[in-house]
Formats: sequence, structure tokens, C-alpha cells
Amino acid sequence: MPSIDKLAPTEILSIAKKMFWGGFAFLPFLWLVNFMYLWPATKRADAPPELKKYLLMSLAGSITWLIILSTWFGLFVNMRVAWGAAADMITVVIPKGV
Amino acid sequence: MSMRGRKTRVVQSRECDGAVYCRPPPVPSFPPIPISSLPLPEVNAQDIATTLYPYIYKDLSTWPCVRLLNATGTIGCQSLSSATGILYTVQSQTDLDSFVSSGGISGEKYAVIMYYGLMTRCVYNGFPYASRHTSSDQIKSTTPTTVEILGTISAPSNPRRRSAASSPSLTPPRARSHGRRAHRRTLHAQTASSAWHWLDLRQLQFPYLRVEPDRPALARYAANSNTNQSYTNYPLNAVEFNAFMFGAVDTATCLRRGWCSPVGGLSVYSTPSASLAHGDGKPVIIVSAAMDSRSFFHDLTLGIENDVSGMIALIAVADALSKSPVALTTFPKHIIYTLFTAEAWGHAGSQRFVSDVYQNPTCANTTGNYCPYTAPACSYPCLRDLDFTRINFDAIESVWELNSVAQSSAPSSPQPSFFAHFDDTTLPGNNRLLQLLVNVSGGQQYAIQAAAADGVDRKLPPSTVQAFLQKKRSIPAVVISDFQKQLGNDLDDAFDPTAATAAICAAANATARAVWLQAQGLTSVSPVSVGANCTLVGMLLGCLTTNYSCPYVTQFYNISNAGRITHYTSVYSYGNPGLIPLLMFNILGNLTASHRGGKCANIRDCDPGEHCITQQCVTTLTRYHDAYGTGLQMNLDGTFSVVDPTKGTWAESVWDQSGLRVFVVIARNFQIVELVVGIVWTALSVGLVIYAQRFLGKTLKVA
Repeated sequence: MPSIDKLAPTEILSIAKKMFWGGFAFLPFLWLVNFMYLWPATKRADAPPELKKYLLMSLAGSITWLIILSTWFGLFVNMRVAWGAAADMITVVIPKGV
Repeated sequence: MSMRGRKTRVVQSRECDGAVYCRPPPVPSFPPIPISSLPLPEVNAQDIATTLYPYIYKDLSTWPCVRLLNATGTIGCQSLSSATGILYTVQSQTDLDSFVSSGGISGEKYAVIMYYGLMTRCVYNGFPYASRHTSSDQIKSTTPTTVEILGTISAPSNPRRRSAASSPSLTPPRARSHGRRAHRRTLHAQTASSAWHWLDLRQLQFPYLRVEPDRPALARYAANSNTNQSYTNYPLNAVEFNAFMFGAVDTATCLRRGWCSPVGGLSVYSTPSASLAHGDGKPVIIVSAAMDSRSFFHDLTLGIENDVSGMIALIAVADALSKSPVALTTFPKHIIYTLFTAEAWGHAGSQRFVSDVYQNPTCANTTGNYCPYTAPACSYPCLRDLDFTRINFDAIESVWELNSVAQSSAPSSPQPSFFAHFDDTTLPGNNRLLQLLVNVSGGQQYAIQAAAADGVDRKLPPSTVQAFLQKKRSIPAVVISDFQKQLGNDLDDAFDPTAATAAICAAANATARAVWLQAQGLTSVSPVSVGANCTLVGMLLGCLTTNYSCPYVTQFYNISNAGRITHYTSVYSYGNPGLIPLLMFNILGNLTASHRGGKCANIRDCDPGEHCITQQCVTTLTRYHDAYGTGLQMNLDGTFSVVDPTKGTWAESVWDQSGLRVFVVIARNFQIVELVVGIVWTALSVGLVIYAQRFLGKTLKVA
């Protein structure tokens, strides 16, 4: 993969757009990588103005996912027993004895 | 590897009662492998661990406290992880108070060792538990303390040892779902102060094990050694508990996950009326008793009073009636003997039997479902036979139950008595039963009187009779017991077999004669030949309480070194009756045989439909009947699920092999020093290897 520094601004913007739209396929880590990988390019003088917008939206998306997954994890861990059969059906390895 | 911890019952049977359970499959033989072709042994970490193990640990065999589940929760014990603690001896409440107030050594955990009978409610409440070992309710009720108790071990030599199963009134609310509350409350109040009755239905969030008699000395020695060290001078002896129970939450959850099995077994019913038919128009007389009992440690269940006394009395009744000068088959009424199992758990045996007889299960002979019987009468639900449908529930004229009749609960009075309990004392049919019993007991050593003779109508005690009355309350039914209004002390190992035999024999004698009269519509005195055989009663009492391998049992099938057997019913298993139902089946089958054929060594020597009992092919209408909670349903694949949580739903958790191992611990400071030395030693070793590698590479030019 070529260095970010050697890519043309339009190519960087193209990558950022593709990774942003790709993140909507339930790929929050793609958004996170998009932000972390391309954010240094926003410091370049020739950085397209739209680049920062896509990267920030990717960051917001990944944070939203983080909140959603964390909330689900907390709920699932604490409510698994109470949810009964439904929770057992979506549990890969059911803990024994609890 | 997980396993079901139930001890395997091995019975080398000469006959199989038409069942598929008792003959193990043939073991395939393989050609011997030359030693020279075997691979050379390799020394690995596992070998080293195995070699060192005996120098570090001493294993103790234990009886576990097993977790049971019902529709609302769990009872019994649980140990979520392997726990270790320093052994601490508690011999009294004072010891416990002293222990708690001392606080122990900071950061250490303890395992209490105590005698079996010391765990009173007071002692239990004095236990300080760490939060992760208690339920939320217990956290609130215990005093915060620095002492953490991980589990409890009981030593076996307790002079007050007794069965906790004497009080069927302790059947939990969900399990005892039917009627007669007033009487039960009375019984419960009277028995709640007993050391164990309150504990066997409680949920304990810590392991509780009882050391088997083979190694109690080691446990006590280890604990006493700690006492001599004042519990502060290291090294000290510690134990590691292993008592993990798979099942959790409730029966529905546990069954769904496949980590428990229904508590139950097989009931037995038998009748001398080989021609019994649903529509023959003959009234039916039921003579009933329970076969199982309950205690905190299931393997130690010894219900001498309740269940064994009533069960033996029923056998004595069947034996007495088999000597009737008038053939029972010519009686105008049928007599059916019913012995129910899992009665200590929601009356599962009687409830299911009556439910099936009252409304015969709809048989769906579908293909592809699980049913292990060779030629089942019904593949779903999986039923070996449908002979119970020959019993006409509406034709039941009376039910006679022999309850606790060993006279341990009898009130002190000039003449020992039995008491006849009725649901409705105003019912004419009940009065006729009472009158029969009073008549036949007149002039005998043991009198029989109504439990309500003192003017207090207590209804029925917990009994198998209730299942019948639940369906049809107008059936005349009597429960014969040695208690009037409260259960007294249950008999323990030190019971007087002579006195118990006399009492059981008297109860059987009176019942046999009364039933003999009623079965013929008579009220006059029955013949002397219809009398209980006290010798048989004494033999059975010994076989079922102290030595199951007695000659009386071995005349039916080969069994050796069985000794004392548990009266806990265990879990339901297709076609596996357990030791007590197996014996009862053979005895009743022998007594009610309608035809006796040739000699046999096993059932294969007999014709279809016959059983090989005492080396003789016999035809008998004696059958097993499934016994598990009526709140449970057998599924197509052989599993079970909860269909009615308001009825009996008891299930036993699958559990790992439980146990204890004793080892020596050193002070925590030394353990830290050991750890640091180990890390440093490892680092030095790594550094030395790297240095040596470079040095050799440089000087010898080998790298």
C-alpha cells in the first residue's frame, strides 16, 4: 500500500469516501481505521476540505457503534439469565452453573 | 471432562423383569497387542504432575450436597469455582463465635470442619460469608466480617445422625400443590426445629461435603493439626473443594440446557387379579405406600420410619393376603398394591400414576422419536406397557395407605396405637374403613383409632392418598400412621429393629385383615391365616436399612457388598428402576403370580410376558410405572421440559465428581517470596542461556 504522503489529494478523498460508505455495512472498525489512517492527511496544505468532514463522520459513526455495542454487552451480561430461552438461543457458549 | 456424578447402580440380575436395564452389553474382545510394538513411554508434564501429586495432596472421598431445581429456583449447594481454605474446626456455637470475632488471618480463607449434626439454623446463621459466595439476600442478613468461609465439611461420627426425610410436610410449596394445608402446617411447625429438616430445602452458595467414613481420620487430623498451630503458625493444612453443579436458575432453564434430569424413578404396582379389566365392573381397592425418602446428603438418605416402614408393611399385607383361604381371584373386588417413588419430591410417583390412570395418556406412535424399549406399547409418550389403563379409576372403592408405622412418632400412652387419618370424617365410606380397622385391631397389642378422636379434624397428612382424592374427593381413603398430630423423632441408625418390626407387623396385620374383609364385603373377623409374617418384616427391615446384600434379596438376584443403600429416589432413567423398586417388583411379582412355570436362569428362559423370579418363570400383573413430576413432559427426542410450573417439577443438576483434597499451605509472605525467587530464577536462566549461546557462538564459531 502506498504511503499516504505520496497519494494525490483526490485519491485520499476517494479512499476516505469509500471507507466511510463502506462502514455502513456494519463495519465500525472500518470507520475507525478511516479516521486514524487518514487523519494525518488533513494536515497537508493541499488536503481537500471535504476530507475532514468524512473522517469526522467516520469517527462519529465508530463512537456510536462503540456506545451501542457497549450498551448491548452490559445489558446482555446482566440480563442474560432473566431473558431465559431467548438469551440462550443467541449465546454461543452458555456458562454452566449460573 | 464433565460427567454426571451419580453413582452407577450395578445389579447382577438373574432376570430382568422384562426390562432392558440390568444386563450390560457384551464387552467386545480385542486381540492382544505385542509389548514390543508399543511405543516407548514418554516423560511429560502430566507424568511429573501425577508423580508429585501424592506428595502434595491427600484426596478425601466425600458425599456431596447436590443442587436440585424446581419451577421457582434451586436448593442444595453450589461451588462455582474450585475453592481452597484453611481447615478450621468448629465444635460448638462458642467455637464459631470465637472464630468470627477473631477475624482470622488477614487475607486468608477458611473451610469449616464440623460434625454432621452441628449445622443447626443458629450455627448456619452465624456463618460469615463473603459476597461472592452468597446470594444477595444472605449478604444483607450477615454481619460484615473479614473472615471468609469457603465451604463446610462434615465428619461422620455424629451420634445424633438421623434422616431428614421424616417430614413429608417439608415438601416445598410448588411441589406440594394440593390440599390439606392445615395438617401440613401443624406438622411443619413441629418438625422445623430439627437439625436437618430446615436445611435440606435451602439454597447454599458454598460447597458442603461430608467425608466418607473411610478417611475421617485424615480430615480430623489435619484440622486438629491446625488447632495445635493456633491457626496462625504456618504451615497449616488446607483443603480444596470441588463441588460444581451445572444446573442453574430453575428446572425449565436447566432442562432446556440439558444440564439436569428429572428427579424420579419407577413406581411399582401389582395385583393378584390377572384378569383385571377396565370394564369388568369390579370395584378396586388400592393399598398404597411410598418407597423413597429425602435428606440433605442424598447418598445418606435413610428413611427407616418414612418410607421403609410403610413399604415393608405393604409387602407384609400382600404376603398375608396371598395366604388367604379364599383365592383372591375369586373376590368380588380387585386388590391393587401400589408403591410410589419420588414421593418426597412433590409426590411425583402417586401424582403421575393417578394422572395416567384417571386420564390415559394419548399415545402417538410416531416414528423417529426416542424410546429405548425394545417393543414399547407406546412410542410417544415412551411407555413400556399400557396395563395401567386396565385400572378403572371410577371403580376405585377405597384407598389404604401405610404411612409411618414403626412407632417412632407414637405418643406415650398405656397402649401403643396407630392412627387413621381421613380427609372427611363425616364421609360414610371413611367411617366404614375406620370401623373395619378398629374391629380387626380389637384385643391386639396395638390399637387403631381415628386421628380426629380428640375432636380436632386435621385432615390428611402428606400422603399418596392425596393424588387419588385430588381427582375424586369422595373416594373413601385412610392413611394409617403412628403419629396423630405431629411427627416425632425419626429413627436413626441406632433404632431398635425388634420394636420396629413388631410395630410394622402389627400395622400390616390389621390392614391385611381389614382389606381382606372389605374385598369380600364382609365385616366379621378374618381368618388367622391372613396375618402378617413378622419374620418377613424383620428380614426386610434389615435388608433395606443395613444390608441390601442379605440372603432375602439375593434369592431374587445376585448382588454383593451393597450394604446400606440410599433411599433417595435419584433421577428418572428409562427402564432403570433403582434398587428398591427392583426389589419391590420382584417381591410383589412373586406374591401375586397367577401362574408358575418351569425353572429359569434369566428372563430369556421364560415365555414372552413371563418374568424369571426366584429361578422360576411366573406370570404376574406387576408393572413399573414412570415417576417424575407431573409438571414435566417427555419430549419426542427423549428430553424433558416443563409444561406446568404449578405442579411437580423437581430436577437434579448434573455435577462433576465432587471431592476434597488436603494439602499444606505456607504463610502468604513466604508464598510471595517463592514467587519472586521463581521469577528471578527464570530470568537468570534465560539470561544465562543467551549469554552462553553468544559466548559459544563467538569462541567456537558454531553459530
